[in-house]
Amino acid sequence: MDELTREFLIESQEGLDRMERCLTELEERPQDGELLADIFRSVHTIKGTTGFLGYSRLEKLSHAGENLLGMLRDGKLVANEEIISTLLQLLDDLRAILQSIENDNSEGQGDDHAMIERLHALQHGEAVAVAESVELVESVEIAAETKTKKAGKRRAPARSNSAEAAGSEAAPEAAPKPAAEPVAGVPQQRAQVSAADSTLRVDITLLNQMMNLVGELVLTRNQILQATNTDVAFAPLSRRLDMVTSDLREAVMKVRMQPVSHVFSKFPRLVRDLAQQLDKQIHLELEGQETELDKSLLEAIKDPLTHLVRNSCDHGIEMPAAREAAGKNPAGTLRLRAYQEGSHVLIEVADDGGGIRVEKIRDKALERKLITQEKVAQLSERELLQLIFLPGFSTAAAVTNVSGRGVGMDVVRNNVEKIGGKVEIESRPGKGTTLRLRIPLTLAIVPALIVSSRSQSFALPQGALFELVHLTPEERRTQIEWLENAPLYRLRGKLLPLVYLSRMLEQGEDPEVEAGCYIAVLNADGRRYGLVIDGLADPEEIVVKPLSSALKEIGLFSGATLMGNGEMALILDPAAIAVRAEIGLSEEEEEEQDQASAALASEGEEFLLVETGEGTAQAALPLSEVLRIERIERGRVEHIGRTPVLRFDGVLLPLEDSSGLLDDVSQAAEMTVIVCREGTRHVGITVAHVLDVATGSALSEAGTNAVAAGVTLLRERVTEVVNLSRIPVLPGPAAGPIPGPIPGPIAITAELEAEACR
Amino acid sequence: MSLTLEHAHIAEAGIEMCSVRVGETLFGVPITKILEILGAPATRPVPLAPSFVGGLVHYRGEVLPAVSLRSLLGLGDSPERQDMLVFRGTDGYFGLLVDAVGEVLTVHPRDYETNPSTLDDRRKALFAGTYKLADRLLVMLDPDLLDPMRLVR
Repeated sequence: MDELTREFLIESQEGLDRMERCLTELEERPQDGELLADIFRSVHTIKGTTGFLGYSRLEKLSHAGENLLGMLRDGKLVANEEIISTLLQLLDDLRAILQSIENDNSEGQGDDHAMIERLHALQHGEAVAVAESVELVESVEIAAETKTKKAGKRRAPARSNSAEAAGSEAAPEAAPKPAAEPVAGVPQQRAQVSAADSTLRVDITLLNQMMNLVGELVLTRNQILQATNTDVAFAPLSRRLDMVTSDLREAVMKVRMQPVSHVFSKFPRLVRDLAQQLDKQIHLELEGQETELDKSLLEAIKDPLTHLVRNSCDHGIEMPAAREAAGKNPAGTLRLRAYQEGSHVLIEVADDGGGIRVEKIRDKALERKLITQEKVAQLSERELLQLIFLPGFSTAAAVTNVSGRGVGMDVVRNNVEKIGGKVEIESRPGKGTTLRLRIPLTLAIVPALIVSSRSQSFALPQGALFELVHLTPEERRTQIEWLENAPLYRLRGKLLPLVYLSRMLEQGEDPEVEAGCYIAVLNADGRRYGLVIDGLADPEEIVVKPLSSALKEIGLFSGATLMGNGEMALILDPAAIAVRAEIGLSEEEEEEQDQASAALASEGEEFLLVETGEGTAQAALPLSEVLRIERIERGRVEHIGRTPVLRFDGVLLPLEDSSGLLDDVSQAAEMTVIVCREGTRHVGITVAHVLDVATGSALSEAGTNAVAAGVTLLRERVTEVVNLSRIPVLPGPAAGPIPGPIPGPIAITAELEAEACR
Repeated sequence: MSLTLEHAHIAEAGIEMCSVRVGETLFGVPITKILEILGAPATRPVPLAPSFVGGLVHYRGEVLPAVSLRSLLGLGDSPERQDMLVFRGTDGYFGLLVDAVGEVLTVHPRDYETNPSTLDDRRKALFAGTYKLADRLLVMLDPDLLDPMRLVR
């Protein structure tokens, strides 16, 4: 049974239960408008949904009932006993059909003509013969009785089964059950607990309250854990409390979780309609529908997501003719993808349309006076894209039915930010646009690292945290470099801009202490930087407490929390800090994507990018040939003639030392050797630094179509590929067990090289 | 809610004021407006916050901004931990840090006078008038005037 039907059943059964209650009350107050309206609603809801689900028997029956109830509600008829009995009969009939649907997904066989006619007759005020009605009521009673009996009989074996399963204790409790709830006409024994019995509707405010209480419990647990750290007798108890609290928290959170398919499911229809309306061909792909998200968050993203889908259909995907002209499939693809990443759920709306032209955005923003000329000049392309989130912005030349009224992206962003989420946009002209909603899994509890700056504690959400670097006082002095007044740190050969938390928070100048520090490498919304902090404490699950609006204006804190030790800590907002520190969007992400797409396009080879000598040129090693990277002591290098060699477990490894690193005495005692495969032998290459792994693309020589050998295009730089075959074969018997290079390839390489030189 | 209206209602019965001291001045806060009085709670400073914010205080599972009356009056930091009164503001609860909380005094509307014209503008905006006690003056404080949402403007 699909989700929709299940929900329908639960809803309808609830409606019918309500109807039953109301009908009995109606006998006492036949003119109570509210009761009548309530009954009408129940039947109306069933009718509405059944038509949609294609249950025609239910639809006809409820339609007839609705007509009669409509007249009652409007006061054209007054409910008498006969009408009420008929309605109760209708109720039983509806229940029977629902039961049948639940059992085998079909409405079952049955003739409703008599019922419908009776409802009809009552509508026209024709009193059905009293005798008949009595008879009918009787027969209903008899039917109900026999049903109960049958049900009771049929239930018996099931009960004994369940009693066995549940143990003897449960049996007396289970016994009176069948009598208490007569099951109306169940044709088969129910193997499963019915949908309505196994689920429960709970008021969302109650759930919110539970969540808050659990949050408080987590706080208390944290405090107890810290307080009982030292007490041996108490430790097992508090550990147990810890576990129970965690489980409880998870359970409460799970209660609130719903798969995103609840929201996704309406898009196929929406996209189909939009495509028709716009004369476009759009193919919708849904991915990760089972990803779960907090119910309230799911509700909150419904509208923003719908808006994004509309936008993509309307502005993103081009007309079929335009697509064909651009060499694309005339049918555009819209991909909705949901997935979890750490403590966030990401929902992507990606189209392969025309992308957003940055110039257009700039012009529009200027035209609408949303930004000044001077400011525009300073913005990078990615930052220009962000302009579409400004209020009152719309690039559509003409306002269409579908979108383009200027209320759009800013509302999307506001709604998403309200729930602590982010909207990211990526667009490449001609290739398409991806909008990404980054939604926190839950609102209340986040894993965070407690850091300190000037002896004040702050909570740093772990979502943005990538790694931690510890610097000793010595390293702090030497390894933090300054470019004018911008502090930088070389992280694996790349410069990482640094932000001193104490300076950002104006906690007073450095007292020039001889202390080490930590660099928290953060990536917040594509802004990559290192946050310099004084110290680290434990990671903790923190409960986010909102800050008063008066303090929100500071902008660097996303809330406050109570830590395990009972102290308060402000929660840092890594993205806001980045923006305040004017950290630009790093190109890295785009680069990686470019490379990824390049790799897909040309199947480019992956290379290990190394620096062969201190400060000298970079070189590339084909990654497929790299076996391992070794750190060795300089003293281990020996020589055979003039060829440096290394001994590994009794085998010799010839070394290539192109930049004379071996002879450079200024180098540290340890050095890096990359062990590669060359043909069937192994060789080593000394390098100063390993920089990165990157995909190279082949370069062809001007004028010829021949691929230039020995070089590759890495990161937009022509890079030499180390020719492994040039490494001399060890003389004499040493080379014996390791066969030399196969002559063929060398010859070819040599030829190509000769060509390249020409 | 206007204070004058309240006065009219209470008329001759007198108003109960919680007396608090900040620096050398005696202040009074209508007792009906106080939710709770916390004795010397731990405060946590908020970097970059407006100067009137004396820190954050934990109060029944919530984190409240505490308004420092000392800073508002330009008195500089208190050497000792301050007491805090909790009020309901326009954006949730907030606290008011004072040097010390004293006894509850009953004042009479007939002893009320508006702020003297010689008071500086800052104080005029914060004080809600003065009650003449037998031996000294009691400056009336109205929590509505001390709401952080109002002060932040």
